[in-house]
Amino acid sequence: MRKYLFIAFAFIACVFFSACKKSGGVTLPEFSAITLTPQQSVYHVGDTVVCSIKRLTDGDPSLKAATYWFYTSWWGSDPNYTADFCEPELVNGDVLFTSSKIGLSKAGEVRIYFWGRLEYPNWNFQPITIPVTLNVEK
Amino acid sequence: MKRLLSLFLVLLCTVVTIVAAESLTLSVNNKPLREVLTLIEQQTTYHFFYNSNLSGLDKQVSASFRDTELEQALKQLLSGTGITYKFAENNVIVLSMDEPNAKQHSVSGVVYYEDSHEPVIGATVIVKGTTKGTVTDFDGRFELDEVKNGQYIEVAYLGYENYDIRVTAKTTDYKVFLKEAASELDEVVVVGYGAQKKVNLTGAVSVVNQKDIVGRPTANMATALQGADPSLNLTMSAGGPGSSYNINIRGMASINNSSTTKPLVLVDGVEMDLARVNTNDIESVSILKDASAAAIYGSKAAAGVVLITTKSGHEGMAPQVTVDVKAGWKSPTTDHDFITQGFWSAYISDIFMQQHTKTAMTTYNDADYAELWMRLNDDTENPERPWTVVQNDGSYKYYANFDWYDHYFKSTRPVQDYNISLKGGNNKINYYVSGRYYGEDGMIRIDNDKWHQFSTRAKVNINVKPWMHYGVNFSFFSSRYTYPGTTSSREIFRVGSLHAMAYIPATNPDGSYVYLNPWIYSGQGTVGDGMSALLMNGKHKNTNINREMVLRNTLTFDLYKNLTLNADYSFTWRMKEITNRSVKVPYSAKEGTTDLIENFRSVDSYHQQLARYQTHNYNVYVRWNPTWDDHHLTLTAGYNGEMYRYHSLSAERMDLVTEELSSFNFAKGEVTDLSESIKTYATNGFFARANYDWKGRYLFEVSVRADASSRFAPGYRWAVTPGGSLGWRMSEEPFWRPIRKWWDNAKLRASIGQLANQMTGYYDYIQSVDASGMFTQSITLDGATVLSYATEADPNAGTLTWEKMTTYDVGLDLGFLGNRLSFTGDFYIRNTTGMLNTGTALPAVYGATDPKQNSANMSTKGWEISLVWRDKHKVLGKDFSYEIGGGVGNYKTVITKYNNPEKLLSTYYEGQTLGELWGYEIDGLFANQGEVNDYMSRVDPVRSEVYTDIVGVLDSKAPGLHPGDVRYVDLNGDGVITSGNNTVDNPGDRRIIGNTQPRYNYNFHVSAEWYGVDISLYFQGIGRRDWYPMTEATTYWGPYSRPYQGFMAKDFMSNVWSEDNPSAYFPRYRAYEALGAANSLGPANSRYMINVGYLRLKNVTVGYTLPCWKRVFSEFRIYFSAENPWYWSPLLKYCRSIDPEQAIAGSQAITYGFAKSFTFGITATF
Repeated sequence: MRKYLFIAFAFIACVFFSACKKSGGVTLPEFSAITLTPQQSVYHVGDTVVCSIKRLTDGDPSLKAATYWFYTSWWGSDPNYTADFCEPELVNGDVLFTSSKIGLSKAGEVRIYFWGRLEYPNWNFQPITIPVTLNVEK
Repeated sequence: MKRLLSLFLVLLCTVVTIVAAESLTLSVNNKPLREVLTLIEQQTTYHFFYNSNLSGLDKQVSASFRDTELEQALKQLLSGTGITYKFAENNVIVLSMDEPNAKQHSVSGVVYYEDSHEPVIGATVIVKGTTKGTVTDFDGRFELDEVKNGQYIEVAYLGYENYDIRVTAKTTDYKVFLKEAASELDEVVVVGYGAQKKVNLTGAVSVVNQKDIVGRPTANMATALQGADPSLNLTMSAGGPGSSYNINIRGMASINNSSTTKPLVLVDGVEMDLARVNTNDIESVSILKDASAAAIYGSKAAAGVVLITTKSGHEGMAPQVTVDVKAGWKSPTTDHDFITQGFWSAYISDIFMQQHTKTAMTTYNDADYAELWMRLNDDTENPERPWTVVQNDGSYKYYANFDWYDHYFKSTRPVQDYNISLKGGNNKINYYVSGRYYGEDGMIRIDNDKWHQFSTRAKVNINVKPWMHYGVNFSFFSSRYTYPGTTSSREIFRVGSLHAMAYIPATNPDGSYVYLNPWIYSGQGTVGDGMSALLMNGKHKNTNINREMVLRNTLTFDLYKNLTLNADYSFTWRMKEITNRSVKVPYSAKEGTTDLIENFRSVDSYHQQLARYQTHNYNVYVRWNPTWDDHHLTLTAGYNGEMYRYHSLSAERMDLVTEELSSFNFAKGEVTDLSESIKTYATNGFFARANYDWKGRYLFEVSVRADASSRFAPGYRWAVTPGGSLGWRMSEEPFWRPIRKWWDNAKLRASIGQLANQMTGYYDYIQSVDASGMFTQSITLDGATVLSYATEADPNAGTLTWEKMTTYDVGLDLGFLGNRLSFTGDFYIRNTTGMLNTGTALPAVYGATDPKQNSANMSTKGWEISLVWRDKHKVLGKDFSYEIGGGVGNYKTVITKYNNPEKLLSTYYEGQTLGELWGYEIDGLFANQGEVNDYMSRVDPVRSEVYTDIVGVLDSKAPGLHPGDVRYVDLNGDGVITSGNNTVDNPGDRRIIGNTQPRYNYNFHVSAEWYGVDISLYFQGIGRRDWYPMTEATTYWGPYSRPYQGFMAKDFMSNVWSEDNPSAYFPRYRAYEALGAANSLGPANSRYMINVGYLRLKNVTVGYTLPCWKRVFSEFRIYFSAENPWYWSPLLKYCRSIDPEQAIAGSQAITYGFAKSFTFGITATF
């Protein structure tokens, strides 16, 4: 009886975990959290930061194309800012994505996002969205 | 104490005596005992207590009491019922069966037909008030055990009157003779200028079941009649309120004027439009399908006749009021799950466009696409990512996820329907009066369109003298449709979606309207062609008003025994009023600026059209129907005349001083229209018909009609159309007796008849001068207008005359098992001769279009069958009746003569099957470059007509044939794919790939009724009808038609070919491929031709007739009814946003959406 319970549990666990990883029928790459440089608990208006993020897993090999960029929560309504596109770099065996220098021009709780648009076969486009929240003081 | 007790006893006895002696004044005639008991309860202080299944309660009783003691009255009423009474406490009278301790014993018997004395198989035999019962065997015998003396046994058989046996101790073996029910024998069908017993019909006449029409939540008769008979082809032009319809019986009767050569619809003898008939008024509908049945109507009956008879009061009918109220909602029959994500709408249009011309559709770069991507799942605006970003120069850039379909259209809308009628009569007068209001909201969300309809009918028949009868029948109909936008409400469904992409919202942040913007498109794309801005501006107003009044007076004189003279005059007056107001529409492309839309829809104008239609119709005819011995004769002869006049005035003027008021009084600009149109015609006709039958066994009918029409030149005006039919009721023959116990009816019919069609133009035989262009046509000399001129039309042939339709019909009517199973079948041939078309080709020096002549013929062959099973049983002591039936029909029309010796495919040709669709053969999509190379070694795409766009537009990303493109088959092996010289003999690489005419019209229905609950399901469909989606079928083709059309299914791309999706339905993505004949998807082809046949659950109704409140209501029913709730079609596999009937309505499938409706209703009769 135990054997069957174990098999059932293992089956459910497999389904559960594979479902978590897959999106739109494909396994997406996994990323670390965004690392800010310099690392501070509080930033001030006028500071600049550089964001980086590490790709932990490659995901489904059927990936046809991918576009990555960084974006901030205050750029959306400002026509002078556009997406900060970035390409992956191999650094010490890690695949890294690094932003340009981002000037913190708004005070308050702001967010910086790492976005990705991953194109898989059959117009299966999948998103990557990883945010980080900063406290910016005047 | 003793005295007191004695006094109390005396008082008690007195009270009991007084109560028991309560008197009754009542007169009943043939009423069920159950109802009489209720009447007694109403008059007295008593209440009856009984088992409602008690046998004898349904016995019809007649009695008259005047101040009669209740007990005496009860004795009289209950006499012979086996029921006894007992006075109980609290003024309660308990009823029960007598002989409660009676002996039980077995009862047996044989059931026979009364006329033939043959045994009845399958008759139901049941002990009343119980669930005990049986069915007669092959010898008509039945046996029942444990039946008490005094109980009643009911013998029932469909089509025969029920027979009751009271069980007594003396008899145990019974002989029962069932009498044929009068209703089955005498079912009368309305035919031309009279009525006939159904069993005596010799022509092809279908009767539409009243129950299939009345009470359905439809706006009018047109929608209710759809699919009612397999011979009837009724298609709606659109799904909106007041949409017009096309109708024909057994296919098109002529290739000319298919819209006007339609069946004659007569409502109580007056021609009316089905769309203006209230379904609740309908008593019966007859469809006269063959020429012999319709011949008596002559000139207008060429395409068949639909006879509608409305309800009437009857002699001896107490005033009866019926109220029917229903309300519910409508919603689209189709799915509109279109793309609402800005990213996808921009992305798809760009990749399709780039494959066509290299330039993207939008102006968006990678950064803009990133903006769209980040908003992908923002159903509403996120403050971090607004949908509109004001640029530094003030212009707007859009990154929206806007649902344009939802912006324009509602998904549900209310509908309401109120009906009231009153009918009654006595031996002097009978009457029927009804009124109806029907209203529904349209599907246009912005400035919602609305339909209001009111109609009334009043019918009174008076027996002025025993020999003179007068009838008046008045009906009035009024509808008002108000809608926003341009003059054609259909426009919104097409242009509204153009350039209305999900990444563009309808309004800017300041509330101004979006129309033209340099950021939106690389070209000059205008959002919805201004339709959204125009609607939101709310100043475009349109109203269509229709009013119709019909007044019919009839006089009938009983001149002599069986001889009547009938005269009637009817006057139809109809008025149509159309008003259209439009204004200049503002929009904004930059913050703080406003411009006006510059197109023909954004003009300041007011237009009004008033049209009046008047018809006078006269009939005078005599009818003589003598009967001697077994001979029955009916002679009908008379005159029919009609005069018609149409008068229309139309005016339009520009520049009104205010946008708020619409009147010519406020217009100061150019008069752009001031025109008048008058059309008249008159017909005279004489008709005669003779019907004869001997013993109801041999049936004959001959008729003739002579008609003259003003539409033809003198000398060509008259047409004589004869018709004849005969029938043989084999089942009435003596030799049929042995099988009559299970085969009740067999009738063979045959008919031949001719009809004539006058539906050419009003003045086609006269060469006309068109003066309507004198406003704009003028000769200008040195800048000055010196002369206005009119245009002379091409010469006409003065010898034009009637088109003739000759129909041959053979039919069979069968009835089995007490007519529980009935079958009707017809086979017919209809030859149409003398159809108008271009006659003999004249030399080019003639200098004008060759005049038309009566020179084309065609032939239609078809069949129809219908099968119905209806029966009634007792279930748990209650009647359970049910019916299952269906019908199917098919026809094929072939052109047998046409002046097209070269057999050009651009017009009709001899031997052509009507509706045939010529197209190319596609055997698949190129899977790889190898297949392309192989194909190009055999076929030259550059010289092929179908690849012109693919190989011709060299500026595209991928010019030339590629994997994923469609592969046309070189049928004639000449190395190119062309249409040849477009003739039958040289069609190039085309063949007949399908047919656009309906094949296998069918319907079937199931209904049942038990214990007050009724349920009915009605299905209707077409087996096959081929459709090739034409260029503007944009919701089907998506960006293959126009890359900037906004209504595109969310899963559209999953059907698009790619290397990852090689088995896709659609080819390689490329814009405009479906937009023209030179493009690869433009010409009709086998791969993308679709069968739009369908099966539709036309109606499902569930009702419950409440047993309570009998004292007030004779019927109180609540019901739920759904119209068009479900359909299936092969089209669903490829496109879920187009209803198959939408495709049938037009090759572009762009119409007002078809709707399903769900309503709850109450019908109360008192």
